[in-house]
Amino acid sequence: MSSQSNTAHRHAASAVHEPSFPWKQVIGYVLSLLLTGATLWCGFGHGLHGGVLQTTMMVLGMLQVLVQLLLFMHLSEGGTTSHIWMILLGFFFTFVVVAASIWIMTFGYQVQ
Amino acid sequence: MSGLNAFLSHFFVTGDPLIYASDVLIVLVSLGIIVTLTYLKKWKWLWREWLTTVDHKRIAIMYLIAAILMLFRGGADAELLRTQLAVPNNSFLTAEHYDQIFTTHGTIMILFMAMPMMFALFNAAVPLQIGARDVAFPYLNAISFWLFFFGCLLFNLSFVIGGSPDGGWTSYPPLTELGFSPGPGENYYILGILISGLGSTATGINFMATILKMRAPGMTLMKLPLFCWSVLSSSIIILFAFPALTVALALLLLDRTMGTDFFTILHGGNPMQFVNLFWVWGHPEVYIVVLPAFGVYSEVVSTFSRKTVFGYKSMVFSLLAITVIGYLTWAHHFFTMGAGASVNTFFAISTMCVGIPTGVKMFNWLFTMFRGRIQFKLPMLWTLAFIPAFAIAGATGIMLAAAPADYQFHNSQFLVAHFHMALIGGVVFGYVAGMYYWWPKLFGFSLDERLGRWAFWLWQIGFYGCFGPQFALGFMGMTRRMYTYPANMGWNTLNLVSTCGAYLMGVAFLFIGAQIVYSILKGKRDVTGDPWDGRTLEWSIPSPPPLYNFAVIPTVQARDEWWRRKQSGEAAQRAAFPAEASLQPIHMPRNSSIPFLVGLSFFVGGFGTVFHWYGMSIVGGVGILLCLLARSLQENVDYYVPVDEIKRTEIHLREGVTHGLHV
Repeated sequence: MSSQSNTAHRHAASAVHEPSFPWKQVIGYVLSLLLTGATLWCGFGHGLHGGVLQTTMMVLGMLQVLVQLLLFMHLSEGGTTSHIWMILLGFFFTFVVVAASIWIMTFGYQVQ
Repeated sequence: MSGLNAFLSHFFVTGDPLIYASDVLIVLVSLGIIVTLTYLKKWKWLWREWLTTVDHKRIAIMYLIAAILMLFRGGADAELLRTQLAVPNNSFLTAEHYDQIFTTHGTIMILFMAMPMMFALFNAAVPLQIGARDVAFPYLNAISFWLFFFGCLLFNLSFVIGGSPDGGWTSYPPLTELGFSPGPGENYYILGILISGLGSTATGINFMATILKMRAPGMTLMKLPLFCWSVLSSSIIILFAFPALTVALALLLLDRTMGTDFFTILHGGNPMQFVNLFWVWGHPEVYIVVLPAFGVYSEVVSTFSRKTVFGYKSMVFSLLAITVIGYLTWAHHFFTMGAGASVNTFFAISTMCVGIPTGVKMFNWLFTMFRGRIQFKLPMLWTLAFIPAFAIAGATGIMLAAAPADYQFHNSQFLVAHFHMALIGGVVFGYVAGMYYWWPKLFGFSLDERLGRWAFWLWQIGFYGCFGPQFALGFMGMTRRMYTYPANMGWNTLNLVSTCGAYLMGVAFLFIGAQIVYSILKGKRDVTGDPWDGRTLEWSIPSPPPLYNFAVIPTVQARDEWWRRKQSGEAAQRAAFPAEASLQPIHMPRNSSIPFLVGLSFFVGGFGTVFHWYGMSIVGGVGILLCLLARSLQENVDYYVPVDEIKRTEIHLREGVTHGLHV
């Protein structure tokens, strides 16, 4: 339970097994860069407009979230109850910020 | 030569005697520090023991010192503001200088006083309360501190170099866009907060991991001390709220430096989005700072009533309820900005809902005191003082949360009085209580009670004297951020009273300063490690604790584990040496200079960006990358404290304890 012994444990383990090259993280990094680049291109490239542009960016954003969760946040490895609660809470807050912001901002602020 | 002169007069703030006086003081204090350190040959000690430390207890002390200094600076700002408002038609400050001072007062008090004071308490208490040897990521903890420190330094430089921001602590565009705030002040604001904000986010992650992963064996979540629960809640909010601020400020910075138009209406941008994003962080920020204070109240009430806290589970549940509901309330900060009735209604109701779990906690504290044997020591006094102050803050908060009424109160002095009641009465009282409570644990001596009582009563009188009249002034139509007012409004007496109250709080602060100095010299030394007859694990070890905190990691059986041991007689063994067979070499992280250098690189890069000296920004950026690289390639990051050394340390510490027991 105490993480001091955990750390010592991992230490001993890593001394036995050579640490392998972090392929997962490198792939995740490259994918993140590609997805970000693609989103930027959509914004600046002027090839897409209106609803298509927004949908494409939204999809790219969701893919980005998946990359982060699967390749960096160990989502696929399962976990304790507290992990699941934290992830649910994360989704809840994300939903709140995005949805409520859209809701709040739809009052015709723009100078026409 | 004239070119240089022009540059210098642009670079340094000139023309104000107050600023010249500050310049002189800054130079004198800096020289004093340098001369003293050199004379006492303490440079190496400072670097080895403090600037490169990864020990959570030392980081707590550094946060605490920074927070007290910033309380002084933010307090001095407040006194200047109140001096200007003491009488009508005053010309003590110019309008622009007044704007700069209220901007820095707000920013410093929230981000550079409350936050570090809170992190000081996190670092001081959490690992000790959960029976751990350090936080989950000690090296990251040091990085967090140095990012805070250098962000704070950058922000504080603004008033003598380049000029302070004057767009309010909320820094709304379009006022803060380049066209309306061309000077470097706004850049200082953005970069100072961006840099320290990164550190805060990392601290949130660090303490979440610490509390979830580092608990001593047997300490289930339902045995976690309430302060740790409050830190966990606060960390969750930090993790989800701070990115919004980072994004909002980064976009504003891009607008100002790269010519983007996120918040400029004429090019399709939308300043309201900044307001929205700012408060997505800004309102949860209130809970970030107040929840740990609630945690402190729970610990203090329980210890000084000599009872276990009433309704533990409902306390935990209400903390978590505030965490979630508190996230749904931010739009109440801009009820008057044009959103529809449905939006305003939703956020009015959600805001009022937060009052319910807060009320639950309040009653639990009262019931804990009920039939307890209350000891009126300093931490308990501040806790008791919190209750009426926060009741007023809560009642006026509900008034403000009612959207139609808010159209009357918004931006008035009523609002100013409300949030000072909440933030001073709720947060500062809690942190001061926490400071008094854990001070002997951190330093090994108590703060003097007599001077502390003077400070307490002066503060209380000053506090109600200062903010009480402002409620009335708000109803009488005085808005906030007015730098002066005509004599025939009927506001004169109330403003004068308010200013006198502010001065009293200033005097109280001086008493706290005197108390600290006096106690360093003559304070009661804590030789028992348990001066308050405490209940949780931090009181089971000597004070100040050894580097590794616990020679043997405790096994927990009860919520108030240390109290249980004292009742069952197990605690008496504490004075004895820990069983030798149970000692094992302790795995500890090594000190590192990289966190300091990371902070320094951010500072250099930030300073360059403030003045658009992009060469300097690049130098700072390269510095950051080099630090990351150096750390990645570092092999020798930890070591083991050998059993012999633990034995020696423990014997040395026990001598003090046995001595204390026989006195």
